[in-house]
Amino acid sequence: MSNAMDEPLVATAGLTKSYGPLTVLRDLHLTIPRGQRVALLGRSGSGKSTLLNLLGGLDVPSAGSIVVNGRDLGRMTPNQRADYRLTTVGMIFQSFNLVASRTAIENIEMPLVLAGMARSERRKQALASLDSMGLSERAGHLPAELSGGERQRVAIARALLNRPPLLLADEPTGNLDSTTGDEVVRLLLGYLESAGATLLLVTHDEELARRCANRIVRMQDGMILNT
Amino acid sequence: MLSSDLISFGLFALRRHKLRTLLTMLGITIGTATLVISISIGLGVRHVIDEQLRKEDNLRQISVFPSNDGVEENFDGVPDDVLQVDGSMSDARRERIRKIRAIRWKRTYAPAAPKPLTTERIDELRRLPHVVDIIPILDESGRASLPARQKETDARVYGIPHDFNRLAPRVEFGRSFSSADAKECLVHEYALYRLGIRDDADIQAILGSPLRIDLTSARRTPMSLLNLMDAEAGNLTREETEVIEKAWKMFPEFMETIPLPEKERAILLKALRRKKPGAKEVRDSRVSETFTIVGVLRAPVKEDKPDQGFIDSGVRESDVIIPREVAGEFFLGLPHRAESGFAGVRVVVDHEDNLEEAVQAIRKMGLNEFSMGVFIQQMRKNTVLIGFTMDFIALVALIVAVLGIMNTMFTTVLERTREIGILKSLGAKDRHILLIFLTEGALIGLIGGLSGVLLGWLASIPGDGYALSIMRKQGHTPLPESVFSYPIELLLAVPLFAMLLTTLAALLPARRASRVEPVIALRYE
Repeated sequence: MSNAMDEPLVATAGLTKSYGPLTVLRDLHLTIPRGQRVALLGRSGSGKSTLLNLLGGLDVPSAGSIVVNGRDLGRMTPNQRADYRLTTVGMIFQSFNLVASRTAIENIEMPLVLAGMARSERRKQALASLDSMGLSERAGHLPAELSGGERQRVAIARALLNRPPLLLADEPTGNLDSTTGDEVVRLLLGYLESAGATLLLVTHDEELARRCANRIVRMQDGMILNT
Repeated sequence: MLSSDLISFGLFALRRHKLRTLLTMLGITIGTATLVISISIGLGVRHVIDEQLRKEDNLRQISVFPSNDGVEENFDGVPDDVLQVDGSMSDARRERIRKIRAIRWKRTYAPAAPKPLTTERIDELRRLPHVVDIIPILDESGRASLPARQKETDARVYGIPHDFNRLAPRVEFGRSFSSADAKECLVHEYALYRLGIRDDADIQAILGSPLRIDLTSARRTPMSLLNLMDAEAGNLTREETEVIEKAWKMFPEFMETIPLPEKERAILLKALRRKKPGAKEVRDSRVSETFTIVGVLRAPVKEDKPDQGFIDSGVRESDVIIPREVAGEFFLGLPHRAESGFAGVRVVVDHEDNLEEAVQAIRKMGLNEFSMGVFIQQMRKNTVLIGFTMDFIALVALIVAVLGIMNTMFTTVLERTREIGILKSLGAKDRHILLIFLTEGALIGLIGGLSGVLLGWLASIPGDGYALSIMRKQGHTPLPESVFSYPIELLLAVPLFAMLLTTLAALLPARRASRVEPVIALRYE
């Protein structure tokens, strides 16, 4: 009798994504067990970010299936995908993707605002998350007033607020210096360890891939070269 | 997403670009202020008009007068010498002059049959639909005398409702009428003065005394003799009156012996004896009634409330006031009144909405009429028309402002594309994005609308002062408190209407925002 926890968290079958005549992903088969830390390596244009976007529910496949946590993202309605993004996945981007006009604490509590949580409760949770990133004193600062590392830590705090089972990181240290990058990696690994979450890391950095991941998948021209 | 957070998002967005928000809202503020002023002044003016008139039921009254049929434009009955047109002229001109001569002769010698307001015709009026009361204009001139003092004077006698309470402040001595059919009268202090009652003590003593009123139907009266000699007709003693009446009766005979040459006397007598064609012989007849003096009216003073209707003005000009029920019966004792009816009546209808129907029915009876209510309804229609025009202009201003808002919001959506992408990547649904932008639009309308109401109210303060000063100069009394009216419904409806407009303006931009693809939006610079 199979245990739900034994089922892979991510399973794609024949996953294809095209933009007009351009096929970016071709018949992708990828399985990621729960708790695995996967690094996706490949040159620009290999389809890494596209795969990440599909796994993040930001886009829909042209063909094939993409099942995360037992649910086929390709068959979801836009609202269901929005719920998926809110509850199941946390995304960290190279460009941080913070709302420039909102303070650090307001950026962090944004997912809880979307979830309809009461103001006092969500503020409490957001402060706790900010504190775990060592940024309590920066709560009222705008992103423009934060350093790159601080911004990324705010983005991580936001992504981890709902304790998602799947973490997607697209070049999380791409815009950071090595020291700051190391700090970010430490925080990510700390969360993964404590939550038992699954990671899919997109990067060019082989060193980073080896540090963060226990499995490396290489892509080229929209296909996986190894699994 | 909580409603409070939606509002918070909206207010945050408005605060982010204060100048842009202010300019966007200004259009709404000015538009709603104009709308508020336009509607409030329309309501206020209508209210002032209605209040002024409703005080005396003028809106439900129609003044009705006897009418002439109108002189026919034909030559029936016109003598040949009148139709003779001398001179060498074209046929067309000859015909025109002939017509004018015929019409003028007929106006002088053969007036058209009138439609008098006799009791029968008044009964006919009473039977018209929606008519609830008929108030005849009871006004006659005659002679008043105090039998005990052998003094008499000219007197204008007027009939009023026995419970007419606006008279009370002017009753200087005594009281008002005890009942509708009481043969009582109120006498003007100047009429008493002419009758020789001058001291205050004498006036007190005269209360309860009889006053005799003589009315005559003669077109010519003995007093005509005094008029011929330009002599004073008032303040005559009984002895003087009797002698004048005697001389009056002797007058025709006197003319026969007037010391002129015979030929000239014959011409004079022929001229004096030539009757108007169709003229009727009027019997001189007299009716008299005695009333008990129960009160003395003082003359009006500056401090008195201004006249509010025809009864007030009738009282002001009269010497003796009697209850109208008694007056009607008394006056109709005169043969010419029974034949020619009253000078006019006031028809009262049950509701001002039925005024027009009653006016049409009265016109069909061939009577002349004037109704302040119909006049006011026409004025109201004009006011409504003017009001609609002003409202339309205000609406155009609002629509222009709304189009501006739509344009601004499209720009805002474009500027916040990346932000929308971030929100969506975090789990915002399409409807969250839609509601965020609709809320922004609604807030612009609500805040702008409320500001517009405030601006309109503030602008009305000097406007009110100016309008009232004009009314004061025109002698309009009493002055209303304000010519602007601000019912609570107006103060609530206008901002809500503005909010509705701006929310609709935000709809298209909001839909565009909600359909932003997060993948594309996240790459937007």
